[in-house]
Amino acid sequence: MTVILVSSDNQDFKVDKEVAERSILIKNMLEDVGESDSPIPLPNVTAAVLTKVIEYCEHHRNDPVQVPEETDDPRKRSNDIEEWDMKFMQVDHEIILAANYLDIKPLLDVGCKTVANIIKGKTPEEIRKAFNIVNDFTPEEEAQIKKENEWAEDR
Amino acid sequence: MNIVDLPNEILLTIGTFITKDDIIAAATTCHTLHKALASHLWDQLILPAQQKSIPVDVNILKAHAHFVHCLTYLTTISPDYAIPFPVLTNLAFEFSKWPVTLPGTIPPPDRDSYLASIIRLCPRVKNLTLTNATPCPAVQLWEAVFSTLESPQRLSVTCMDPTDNPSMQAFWRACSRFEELELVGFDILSTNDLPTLLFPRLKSLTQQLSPYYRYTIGHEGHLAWMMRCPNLTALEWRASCSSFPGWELVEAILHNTWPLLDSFELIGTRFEDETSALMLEHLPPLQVFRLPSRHLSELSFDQLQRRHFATLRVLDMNGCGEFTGDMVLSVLSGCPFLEDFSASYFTASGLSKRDPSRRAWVCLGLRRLKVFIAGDWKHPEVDQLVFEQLSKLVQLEELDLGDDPLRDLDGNLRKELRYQGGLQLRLDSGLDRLAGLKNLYAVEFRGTVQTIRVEEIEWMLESWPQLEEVSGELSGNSKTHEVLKEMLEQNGVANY
Repeated sequence: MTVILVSSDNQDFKVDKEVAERSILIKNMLEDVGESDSPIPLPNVTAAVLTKVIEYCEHHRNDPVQVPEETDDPRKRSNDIEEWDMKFMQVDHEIILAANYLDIKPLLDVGCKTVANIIKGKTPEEIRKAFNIVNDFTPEEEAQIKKENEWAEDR
Repeated sequence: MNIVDLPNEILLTIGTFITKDDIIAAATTCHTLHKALASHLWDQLILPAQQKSIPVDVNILKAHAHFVHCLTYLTTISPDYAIPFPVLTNLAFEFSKWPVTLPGTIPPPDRDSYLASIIRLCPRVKNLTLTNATPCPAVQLWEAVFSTLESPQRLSVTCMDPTDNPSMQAFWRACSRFEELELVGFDILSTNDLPTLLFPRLKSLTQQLSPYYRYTIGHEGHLAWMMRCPNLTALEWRASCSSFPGWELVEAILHNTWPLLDSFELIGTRFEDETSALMLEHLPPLQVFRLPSRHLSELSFDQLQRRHFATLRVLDMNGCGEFTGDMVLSVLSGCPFLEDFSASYFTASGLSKRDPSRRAWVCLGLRRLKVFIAGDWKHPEVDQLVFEQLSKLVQLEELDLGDDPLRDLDGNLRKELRYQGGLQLRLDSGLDRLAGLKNLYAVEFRGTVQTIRVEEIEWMLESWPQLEEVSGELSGNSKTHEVLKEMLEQNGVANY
């Protein structure tokens, strides 16, 4: 069984239902409308991004559905990313936004871990460079923030 | 990638994957990230900072107080820091172990009125911890706890010395509002200290007696007050074995004092088999049962099997030397929900005799298994059977094949174990069948002699991606042991 997804720029995507249901948003929508052939509009996702997201869901179609298991155990909170996923994520933040909107938790996690891995071990200046962040602090503000952060540092 | 455009909730998720130092660095880059990550930076706080001597700037603290969820006060600080923390849920007071007069220390009773004022400022605290609460905090502190907290959850008190303290009744009144209580090193010294009220809200009780127990009213006093908690679902009692009121406890269970109980842990006590069997017969179906008492045997096992196998998740029979290998195997093939199981031993030959059809164990969700498995050096194909069963426990995270005190009550090693070594973790014994245990992070075999070789270590490192620890003597040959140990360590796997 297939469903038709419509991107924000009005392109149709024919996808296996099983693949589309990796997105909890779409899964819930399909459950709400019941048996129906009407296309599903996704006004927050462009065709370019949707192509990538479908590629991800195809690749992971046979994964067990993730049980939401919150863990504070740092041992379990690993930043490991599968090789395929790592290559896949070499794109911009729109994938993360789409994963968030479409409610695809594993993809959102991979996105967040990718960003986290870039931040790891870097100085503020290096982080700014990595993400093209403009330093919008005044020197006074920066001094103040440094002072505050001394407080919050690991202890 | 333009991360500044990501919504706050996603930035917060990213923050959960990096260390605090990384968060600080990211928060120092620009306004957006600073704002988004501030709640991570200030989520948990210890006052005053332990490693630093810079005093907290009260204004900085005030500006970020609305981010703090967990706060630990070391009670050597100035009352200036008694400010409101509107979303605080976890509050801990750590008293110093010995009475100290460091600069800034506030001695009781001023200490208690200061702490009471902090509690009054943080009404949303759910979990309250008091460590080294000596002397017993004053009435006003317990009154503040009783009357201020909106939805108290868990109270943990360590090393409180009540000594006929007039505040004990106020303490019990405060306790009666919580759902979970943990009292550690805490003795009730006189009947005046016993509570006079009921604790209908209390669901979980952990009580660990002080090792310096003074036998003023004995364990009966503790039991008397536990009997005032009719809705307990979890009872954990760590005691010194002498003077344990075993029969009184059995009576309480016979009278169905705790009809909702599903977790029962008694540690440091000694029961005859008849006694524990009687308890097991009359307790409600249990999910957690921990009673490492060495007399436990057939009678108790029968009751376990009859009444609790269908519900057990955690079973700890550590040190129960009379709990035979056959019983252990019955547990493994009879408890479908078992997640954590400790027992003394079973033998490979026992397994092969018992289960010729090679029916798989039913506890496929088992995550931790601690049991000595005696191999069968004369019949290697029998060891293969053990690996075959283990290979199906794909959720297994911890496998401990360590040597328990495998002796019967006369101190003799059991006959069936006398000439058997532990199961050999070797590829030619069947180790390669365990390649599917992808969650395994710890393998232990202390007290046994292994004959592991380089190829086994290579295989483990390759097959078990989560592996963090392989502990015990890797080889009877000390040189080989050192070589293998180094191999593990070079790959980030510890050997203790």
